[in-house]
Amino acid sequence: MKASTSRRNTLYGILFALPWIIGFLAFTAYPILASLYYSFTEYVGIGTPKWIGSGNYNALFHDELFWTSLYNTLYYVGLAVPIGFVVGLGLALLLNIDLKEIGIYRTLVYLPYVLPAVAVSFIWLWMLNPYYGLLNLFLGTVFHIQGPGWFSDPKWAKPAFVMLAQWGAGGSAVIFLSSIKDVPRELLESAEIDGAGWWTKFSKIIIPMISPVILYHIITALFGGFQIFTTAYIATNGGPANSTLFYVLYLYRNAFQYSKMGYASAMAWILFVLVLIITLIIFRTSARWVFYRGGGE
Amino acid sequence: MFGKKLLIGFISALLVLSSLTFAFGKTTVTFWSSHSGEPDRTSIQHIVDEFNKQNPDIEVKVTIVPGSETDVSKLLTSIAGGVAPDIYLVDRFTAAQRAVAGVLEPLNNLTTADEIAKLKKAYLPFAWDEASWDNKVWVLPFDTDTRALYYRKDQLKEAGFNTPPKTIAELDTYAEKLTKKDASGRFLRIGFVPWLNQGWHYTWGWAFGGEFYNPKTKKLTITDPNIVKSFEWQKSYADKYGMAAIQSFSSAFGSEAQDPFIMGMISMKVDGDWVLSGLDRFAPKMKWGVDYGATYIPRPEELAKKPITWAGGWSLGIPKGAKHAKEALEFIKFACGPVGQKIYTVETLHLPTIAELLKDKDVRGERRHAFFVDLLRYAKNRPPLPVGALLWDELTAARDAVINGQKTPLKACQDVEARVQPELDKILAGK
Repeated sequence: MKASTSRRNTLYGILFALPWIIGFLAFTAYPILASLYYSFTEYVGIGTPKWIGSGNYNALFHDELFWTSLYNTLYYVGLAVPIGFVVGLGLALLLNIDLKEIGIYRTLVYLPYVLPAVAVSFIWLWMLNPYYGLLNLFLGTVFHIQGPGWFSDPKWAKPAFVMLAQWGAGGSAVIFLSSIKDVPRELLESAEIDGAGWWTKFSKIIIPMISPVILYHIITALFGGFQIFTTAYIATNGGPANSTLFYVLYLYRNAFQYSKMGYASAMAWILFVLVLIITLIIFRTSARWVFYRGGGE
Repeated sequence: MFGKKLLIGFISALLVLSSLTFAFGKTTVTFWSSHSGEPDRTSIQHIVDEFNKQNPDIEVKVTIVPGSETDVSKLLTSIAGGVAPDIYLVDRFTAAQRAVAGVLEPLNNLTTADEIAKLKKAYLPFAWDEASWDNKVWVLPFDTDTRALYYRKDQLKEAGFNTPPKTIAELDTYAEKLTKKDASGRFLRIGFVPWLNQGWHYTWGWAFGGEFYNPKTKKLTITDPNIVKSFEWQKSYADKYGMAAIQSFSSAFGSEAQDPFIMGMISMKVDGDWVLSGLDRFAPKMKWGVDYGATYIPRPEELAKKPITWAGGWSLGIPKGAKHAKEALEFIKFACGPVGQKIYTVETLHLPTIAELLKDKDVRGERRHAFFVDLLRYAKNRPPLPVGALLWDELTAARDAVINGQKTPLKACQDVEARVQPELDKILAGK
């Protein structure tokens, strides 16, 4: 009797999960595996792929734009992820202050995050406009600096995207905030009694207590950073002089503009392996700095 | 029991009826267009309305889809997914590339060789060339266009010039004299910037006497000394006026009524015939011959006597897997034929690719438009290669690298050849 109930439960469980399982198999697992096959073929996106072995991979390593796009993306990730972390955590600390109207601030900080990337790109095109833009106006009137051309200057276009990425910092700030709220009060209070200042409390209690959330944030921010596409597609479309030709943008061009789906698939797999390696390294080192409450007890 | 039978009977009657109406009713033909701007969008609808009226058994439906000259991702995914439209608007210079990619159904499969030969005679040869690849025709040519130097007559006069520049040297002098700065050194007006609007790599490469492709050797010739020279000349503007300053000034340009030419922020620009309809719409007070004019694109002294321009334009094709290819062909013959092209070119001020329409009074329009029509005689067209989109993007990147000082003109041109030629060779070898 008991056995059949549990079997039935399993069956129901599978049935309820079936929509997701089917969706996952058809729309995620199959395309991923298919792209692995395509990456070894010459394939225009329709018709029959032609097997060429490692041809795409060999060609990629000699493709100047592949390296340019990889460099651009690493540059972007290298700046956007740490800065995003600092800005997100900083905002979270500010939003943790006890104020009567703090709810309003929390809403305001979170609001930009829900805007679609396309709209955000257009807003930033205006904010960073060298002539009419708010930022250069600010630089000019307050610091008497002539601001750069941002999106139109190859030297400043990537930093401009790093800045643009901070627009969404409200999203991570809210997650940090909720984990800071989770830090047991008694720990902070007893530290205070022992004479700990805010920095000690922050670095010795808050940071370790929220470290699992920090790990989560860094991993997801890395994924997001490596896949930067929408804002670059809208704001610069890779220019000027390929300075914002990010990896996925170049992948997209190969797949849909140059009819080189096989080549694009190879690019996707290289990116996948690269992100996988970086993620594994972070996970390996995380044992040293991530503290799981209750884990060691 | 009886109720159930009745219901079944009713449903099957419905099914039979609906299949009958399907058989005897209209055939719906889907047409995807990426022309979302006006007046082009409405004009295409006018052609469709006219066709639907004349063909009661076919109903063409236009859907505006995302896409651009070189970006057809939506079409690709729809073909792969088995839900391709019946008609697609293709930028003609990419037709060969789409043909090689297997995106298009060759029209030779849908009609007789006689009809193809008859169609061929109706079109301007360059447009037919662009529509063909591998001895087959893949699309029918729709509109075309030409480019010229627009100038603000009022501003030229103010600077003491009574005629527009004819040579590159004159253009440089005019540009310098027309440029104005405020006290802090910021531009108020720039006389001319070569790479704005339609000042593409092709525009200047040809103006300087260069050739991009040798059909005999099947080799790209981007390192043609004249093309390299055209890049060097463009770079001289970046050096003279300062790239950062030009960029920051041009980022302040708006569109439509805030267009920099209308606002008087640039005095001269290379642009296409379609700009005329924009000027009428957004600056109705600006008058041809008084406030602005258009002339031949300036060329180096020794070539200045021979006018030059280039022509582009769109075409209509039938994607692989189209469900109503026969009806689709009827429509594209109509839309790309004299009736359709006349509607479109009169309404949008583009140019026809049907040779006889070039003499049509309505198509020629007023004098200013007739100027662009007559320019077709001197028009070059981009080599109809199956790597057209790639070559375009690479040339654009090369131009950017040169004006931003990242590559020398020669190196940039060499890089384009090194990247595109192997792709072309591969396709030619596989043919």
